[in-house]
Amino acid sequence: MKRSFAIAKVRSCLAAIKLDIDLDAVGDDTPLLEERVITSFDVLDLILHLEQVSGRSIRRTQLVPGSFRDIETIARVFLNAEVNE
Amino acid sequence: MSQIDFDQLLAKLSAVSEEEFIDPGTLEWPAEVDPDAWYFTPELISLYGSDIWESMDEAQRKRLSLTEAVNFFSLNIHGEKYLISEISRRLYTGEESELSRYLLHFVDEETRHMMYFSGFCRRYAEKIYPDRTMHGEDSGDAELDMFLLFARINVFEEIVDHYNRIMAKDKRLAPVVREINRIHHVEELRHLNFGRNFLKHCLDRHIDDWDNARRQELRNHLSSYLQFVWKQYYNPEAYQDAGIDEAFEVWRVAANAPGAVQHRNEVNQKRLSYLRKLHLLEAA
Repeated sequence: MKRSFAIAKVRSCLAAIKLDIDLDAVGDDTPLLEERVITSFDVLDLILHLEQVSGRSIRRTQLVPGSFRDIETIARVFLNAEVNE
Repeated sequence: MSQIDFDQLLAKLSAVSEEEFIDPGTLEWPAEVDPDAWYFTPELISLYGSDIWESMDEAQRKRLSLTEAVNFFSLNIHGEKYLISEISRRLYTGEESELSRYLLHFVDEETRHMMYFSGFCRRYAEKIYPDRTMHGEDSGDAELDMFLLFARINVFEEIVDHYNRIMAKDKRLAPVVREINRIHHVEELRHLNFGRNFLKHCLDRHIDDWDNARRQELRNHLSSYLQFVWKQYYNPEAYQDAGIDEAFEVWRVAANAPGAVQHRNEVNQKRLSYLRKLHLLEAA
């Protein structure tokens, strides 16, 4: 999946689970868990949205905090975003 | 609660666990699913009262009751798996041997519960819904982390027990489901008793060194965890397996339906009053 497309998909998933989030203030490399943009409790909803977007189930081994570090990482880990377009 | 009182409670709970051991091998498993049976109390089904529920006929609702039961048992399996691993690594790490002695029973009972739950899921659905939870990292304060672990366990078990209690008595349900819920309810009563007293014991010990800011952090954490627990009761995969079209869209709106919100509020009000009394959850 093209990087920019994957990033947009991740952003739409985040918008769907965090209705109060100002995504314009969140960079692609903003540390999501560290800065409490999301918490580990939000991950359940996020995963279900990512599964819907990608059309495949997420593997248990992917469910570690590092996979949710930032938008860029989520796009790469869960939507197979290309590193370079 | 003094250490002596707490140790006496632990000794008593250990003794009851030893005397009232329930053997998972005694459960009678029907050979196959009965399509005419209910497997989950209709009023507890996550879509109960919604537009989609109203559009379903009884056969579809019964099919959904089976996948809701599989979801309920799956979320219990994953919850218990997590608590077993977290409790196990804390066994015999300090001087509190009476605590470790009881926690061994706790772990043993939770392991046997997973046998019932997974036995049902494997036999009648050939699947356990996947664990989509990610647990946060420890704070580094061992005692605080232990406290939070048991506070979360208490929230999880109070809600599960609300369902167990009702389904154990619901004569509309398949006998095997009633029995699993009954057994779980009986053993969880001890865990709930332990959990409530453990939390009180910890709070008494830390009355001076856990300031208001820390207590507010605890409340925020548990409030988020409570919402997270409820989210697990809504599973698009269970809706899809029940033959519901557009299962993901159904899931997206299910938890916010007025009936669903009211149901959760009623259960929270009924089952979490002790945590509110300890000021671990905000007043309802």
